[in-house]
Amino acid sequence: MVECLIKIENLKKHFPLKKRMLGRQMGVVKALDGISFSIREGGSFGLVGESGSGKTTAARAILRLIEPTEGKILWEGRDLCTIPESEFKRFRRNMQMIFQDPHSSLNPRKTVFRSVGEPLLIHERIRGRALRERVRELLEIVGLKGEFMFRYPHELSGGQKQRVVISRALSLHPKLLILDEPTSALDVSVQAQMLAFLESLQEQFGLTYLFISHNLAVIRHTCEAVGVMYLGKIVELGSAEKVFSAPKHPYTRALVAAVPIPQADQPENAVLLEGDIPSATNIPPGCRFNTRCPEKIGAVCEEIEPWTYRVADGSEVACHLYRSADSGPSRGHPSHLNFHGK
Amino acid sequence: MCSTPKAEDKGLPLLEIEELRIEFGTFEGVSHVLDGVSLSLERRGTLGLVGETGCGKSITAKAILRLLPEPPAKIVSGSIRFQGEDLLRKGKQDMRKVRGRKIAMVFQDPMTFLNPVFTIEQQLVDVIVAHDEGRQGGRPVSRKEAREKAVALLRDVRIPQPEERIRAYPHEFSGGMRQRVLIAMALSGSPDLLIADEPTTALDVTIQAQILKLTRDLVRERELSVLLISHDLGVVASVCRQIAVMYAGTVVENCSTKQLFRNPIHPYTQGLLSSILTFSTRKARPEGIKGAIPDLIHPPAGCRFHPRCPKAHELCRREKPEAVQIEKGHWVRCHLHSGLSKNG
Amino acid sequence: MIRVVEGMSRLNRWKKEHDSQIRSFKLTLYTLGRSPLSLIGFCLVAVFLIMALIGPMIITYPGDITGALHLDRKLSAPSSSHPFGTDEVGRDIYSRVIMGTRLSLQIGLIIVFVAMGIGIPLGMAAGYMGGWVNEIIMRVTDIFLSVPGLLLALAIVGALGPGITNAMIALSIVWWPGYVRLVQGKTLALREEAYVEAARSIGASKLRLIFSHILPNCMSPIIVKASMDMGMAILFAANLGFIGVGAQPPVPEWGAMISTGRNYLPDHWWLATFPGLAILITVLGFNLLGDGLRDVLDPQSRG
Repeated sequence: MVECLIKIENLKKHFPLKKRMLGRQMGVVKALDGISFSIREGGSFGLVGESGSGKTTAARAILRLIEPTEGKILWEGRDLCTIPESEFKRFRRNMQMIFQDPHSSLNPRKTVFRSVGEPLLIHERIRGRALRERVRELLEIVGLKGEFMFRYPHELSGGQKQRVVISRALSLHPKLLILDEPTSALDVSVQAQMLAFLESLQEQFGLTYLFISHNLAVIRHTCEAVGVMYLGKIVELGSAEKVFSAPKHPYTRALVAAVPIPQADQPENAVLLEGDIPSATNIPPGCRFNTRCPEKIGAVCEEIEPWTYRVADGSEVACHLYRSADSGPSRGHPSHLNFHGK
Repeated sequence: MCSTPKAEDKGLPLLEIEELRIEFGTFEGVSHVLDGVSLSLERRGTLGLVGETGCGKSITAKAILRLLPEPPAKIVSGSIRFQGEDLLRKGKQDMRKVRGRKIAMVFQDPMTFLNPVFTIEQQLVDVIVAHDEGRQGGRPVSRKEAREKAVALLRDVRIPQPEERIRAYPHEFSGGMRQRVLIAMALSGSPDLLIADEPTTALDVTIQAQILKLTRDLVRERELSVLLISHDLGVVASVCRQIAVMYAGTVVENCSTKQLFRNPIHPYTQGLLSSILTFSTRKARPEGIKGAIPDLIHPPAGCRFHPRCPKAHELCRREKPEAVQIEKGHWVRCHLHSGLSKNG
Repeated sequence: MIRVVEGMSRLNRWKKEHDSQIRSFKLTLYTLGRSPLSLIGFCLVAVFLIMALIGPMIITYPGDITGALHLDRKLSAPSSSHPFGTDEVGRDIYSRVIMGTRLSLQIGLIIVFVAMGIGIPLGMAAGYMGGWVNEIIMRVTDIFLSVPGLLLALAIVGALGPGITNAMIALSIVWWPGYVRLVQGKTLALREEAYVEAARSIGASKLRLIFSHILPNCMSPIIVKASMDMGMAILFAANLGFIGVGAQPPVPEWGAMISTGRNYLPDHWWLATFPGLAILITVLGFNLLGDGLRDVLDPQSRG
């Protein structure tokens, strides 16, 4: 039985909407409305979704950069949400995040040396020559020579900045690395290299990855398991191969069909979603996808929120269409999904 | 040495750029951003300009509409012929007549191009009335007529309930809707050519698919020609029948979409195609292209791609390759193929 | 000889490490140099600073700075021995104006630095912590800002009593709210930046976030404001001196000198004119320099 490094249970994050600073609460933004998944140690899991899906909020909530409203984050069995903030600071070194835009994740006024050395300065209080040595080693791991140490971010290319950010994240030997759109700011010819590099790092250091992206191709190339998010919930969960080659949830199908394919023969667009993504302040009742769903059954989709059903090939789908296909006991809400990919 | 398909082949092309060279003055020196860009677009044609950051595709687009600030930019040589006339020789007044009315442009980020304090109606009507000025003959369009035309345009770009939504402010629209409004604005002057610079890069995947379909439909319905600029070959392939691949300021390959994917000739194109992470199948990890984009202030001598090219040889380091036709409609700038005859 | 070589190699290493900073400094100078007005401002400020530094060396009548009486020479027009003439008790105006430079520099620096010392931490606290801390600080700041600066300064000096020290205290109190406003706004914006969040995720403490991440990125608008404020602070101090509540005679402060010189206009124009010109040139210089710096460092705030 493969050990599970981190397990998310029914994680929620609701933001109150206030009219004025001290005014009444007008409503709630349900950015995250109960997601559950787990990642095995050394594995790669991807969260896919468009804007408003809540995937970035999920990453921040897991790191407790924002406090979850509800739910559990189980790290090797221990619930992180119960740890007080002061203790959690020390725990932070186990989970690091590579933020979305490498251009803004580095303080423009700090040299590479200061940025990469900062975690070591804070946690291990290393200074001076020792710090320089460690930073030099870290930069070597990501393939940057020593001369980069005293450069400023604006003198580096996108790919180099991304590497600096990665070396900073690695400095404290984290176990989990959350990567938020790691390649979206990079050129096509560099993207593949970056992903190969990330894979080699994973092997070298035994890292566990949580990828967050709207780019399905990137997820497909890097992750063994995938969760497709829509408006704060996971609508489909399974191995990347199965979810992408045989998508079940209508949203996943539309997402897969919408990806433009670089090839000579272009297919006729089978599924084209109408309308916009609803706002998270105004989540449609019933199944949240019902307003755009091309395979809507009827009133049941508009009134009742679907449970998560496990289908024959092991994927889990939150859709009424699969109610009868459920091969296991149906669950109230996906509170004990233990999906381990591959 | 004309590198574009001959005029007799297809009737006069709508847009023909020939050996465009542009320099930019910067603190650190003169940057040779465009080093002989040549391409052509026929009537009702769709051309995709593809390349990575810094290749000069946006600059080419802006140069067509003379939107580059002229210092620090300097157009060194070349011509941009639109409907037979060289746009580079036109004065300011004449260019203003071209912008919006003959050639319209849509940019990447719709929010920065819409004034947040005016309603969509006000902005659209203003644009329609502005395009109407200088129209020969007839009486000028009234604001009421302009409003009707605005609503019709919104309907054309498939915005639901246009009569009501026209009174909204930009921030009340989603990203995809705003982009449609921009497209409507661009179409208001009934242009012959629509230039779209990364129009869907900031949009979600499903919304992008909608906008791309809209573009395809508009091309059919309005006999519109489109120049689509993108770094995403998939996006370009879904709309355009012709593709021009740019690298470091030159068009290195220029052919139909089918030819590009079935028979890519230039080593950069091949590298680019092989480094795309394709979604449809999970094949072996793509390689990417070694090296980095050259510094355009001190560009490499000869062919600008030679430092990264796996097939470079001595000639490539010395001389810039001329464009050569490999097969009908398929042009490449590469010394490896300059031996082939011009008739493919 | 070896020492020299050692020194050289250390210098080279320093240069290599700080190569980026050197280059961006050069770029700043280059951009500054491209605008003729900011060059003028820079030169004027440079002259001002040099005068302040070497003042004692170039004055001709050091005794005249304070308290000397040469009634036989009083009210003489500008001449070769007294380029700016003499005042009503025979003191050399040239020497006094030059020494006034040093005094003005001190006044300006103290006011601006005290204002920054109070205003910047308050602004950062308000911007970073938000909530009621922000409300309290900003409302207090608003109260101070609602009173015109000079009037407020007058009121404070009126309460404390005339004198150059009290004038500086009063002006510092008038000046700090401006910095609070500026820094609070910038902090609020920077708080949301990705690199601040990244630092938080590494485990940086609040203090580190504020001082090591946010403050350095606020420096550009602060430097611009400070350089313009130098000129304005000197001007305000001169105003107070002119009214009579700032520097008291016989201190060679420009405002005070104009105040006495005013009574001798228009026949003995030189008593008021030269100190007045000094103020004009100094304030103009700092304003132009500040404008030029703003174009270089903080272009978005233009307008």
